[in-house]
Amino acid sequence: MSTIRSREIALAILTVSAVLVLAGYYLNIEGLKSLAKDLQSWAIVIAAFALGLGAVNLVSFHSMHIIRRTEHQWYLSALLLLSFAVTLITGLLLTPAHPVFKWIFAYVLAPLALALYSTLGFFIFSAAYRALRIRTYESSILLLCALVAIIASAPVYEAIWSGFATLGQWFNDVPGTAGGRALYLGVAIGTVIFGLRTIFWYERSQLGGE
Amino acid sequence: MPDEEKRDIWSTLEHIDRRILYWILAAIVVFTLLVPIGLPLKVSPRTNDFYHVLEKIPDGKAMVFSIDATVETWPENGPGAVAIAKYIVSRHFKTIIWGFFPDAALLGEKYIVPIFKEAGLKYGEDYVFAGFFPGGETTVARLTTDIQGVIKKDFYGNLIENLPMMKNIKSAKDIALVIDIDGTNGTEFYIRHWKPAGVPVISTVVGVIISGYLPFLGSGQLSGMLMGIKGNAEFEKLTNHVGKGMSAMDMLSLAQTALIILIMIGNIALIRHWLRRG
Repeated sequence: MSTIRSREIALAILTVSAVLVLAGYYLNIEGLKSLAKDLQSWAIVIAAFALGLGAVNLVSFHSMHIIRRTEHQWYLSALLLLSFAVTLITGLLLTPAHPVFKWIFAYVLAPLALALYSTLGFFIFSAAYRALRIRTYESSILLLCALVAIIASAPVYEAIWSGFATLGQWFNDVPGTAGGRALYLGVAIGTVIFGLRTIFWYERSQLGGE
Repeated sequence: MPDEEKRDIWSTLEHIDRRILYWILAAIVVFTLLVPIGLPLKVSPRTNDFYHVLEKIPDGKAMVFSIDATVETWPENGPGAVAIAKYIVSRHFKTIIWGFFPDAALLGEKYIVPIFKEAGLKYGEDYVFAGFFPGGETTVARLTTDIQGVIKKDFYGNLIENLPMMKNIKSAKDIALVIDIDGTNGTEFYIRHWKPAGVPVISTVVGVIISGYLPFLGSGQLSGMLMGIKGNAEFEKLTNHVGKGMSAMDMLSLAQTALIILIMIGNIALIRHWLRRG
């Protein structure tokens, strides 16, 4: 019973907030606009709290792995929590503008993140070689489009023949933009429908229900 | 025996071991870094359009420099961001630097703020570094009407209302342009909230999200876009601020060429396989 009530209360808050923010956007009533502004400010504060909640969740999840000595995982979790603690304490005590915090960013976080991301280039290089084959009619079209995109994005081909750049831009401007617009229109209509379903309580998945 | 040997070679070419492909790419990267070739680079119409948007803004106007990139996307976003910052400095625009991803604070502090410092611009009068704000799109929407209501303090803990530059900057109406350094989807936030408020938005984006922004570019909601590392390098060339973007162009051209050759080899081997099988 209490679960049902708490869900109904959450849905009521959601509906009232959504209607007020929408009304503040469309109607030129000063009091309403001010209320919508306040609600937006609350949302920003809640988002800041969400970061803290994420940190608590991270600590809780990995602490469990360490306590249970999960095979092939607990020592990685311990390393993660140690790194997290060092970064957090340094940031809180010394502020993010301190040289020690900046050192952690420049010489630990940045190289690790870059190394991880740059491996994608190698995977894509290998995947493109394997996937771009003329096995079917559809895959042949994919191969053709991919070749145009690759040639158009390599500066040397544009210098050899300016037609490559024109062809690349045509692909971007005509089929690319048309496909993108269709996608965005679909997403926009879906978002409006999702918003309306949420306001009228038909959509409850955001509260963890069916 | 010779037939079998031939079949083996073509079969190998059809299924080249991924480790060989990785070595080919690694060799290209190392070679182009050690021996710059200086392959030609032409400035595309898109980059020219981006430049002209910046050029049309009168000197000294206020603008937002939004870092919505992450450490991972910085090698692609960074060269453009640095070249744009150098251009801004040369035009004495009043600049507010902020971002909506945690990395923005540190990227801005390490790569962008030093450009303003080295140019001798005064903090608080010529530029303000606000750091990172949570809240994503909601924050961007709120900033449109009330910048100082969201930003109380800058990255260094100074009260925003005490900074001379911010005395005349209260909302989007006081901003002439938004430049978004986009490695995620931050530009969409500005397109949805700042463009309707009358502020033109330009963006430098990573390659994988270019196609997502083309509809906005076509409709005029996005006034200009630097497309990936190539667009960044073109902007460096156009503004004579040569940096890491230009140095990546040899690598890009050679890696793309190697990829085209490998794709062709794979397909020829596949066709040959079909022909042999009948």
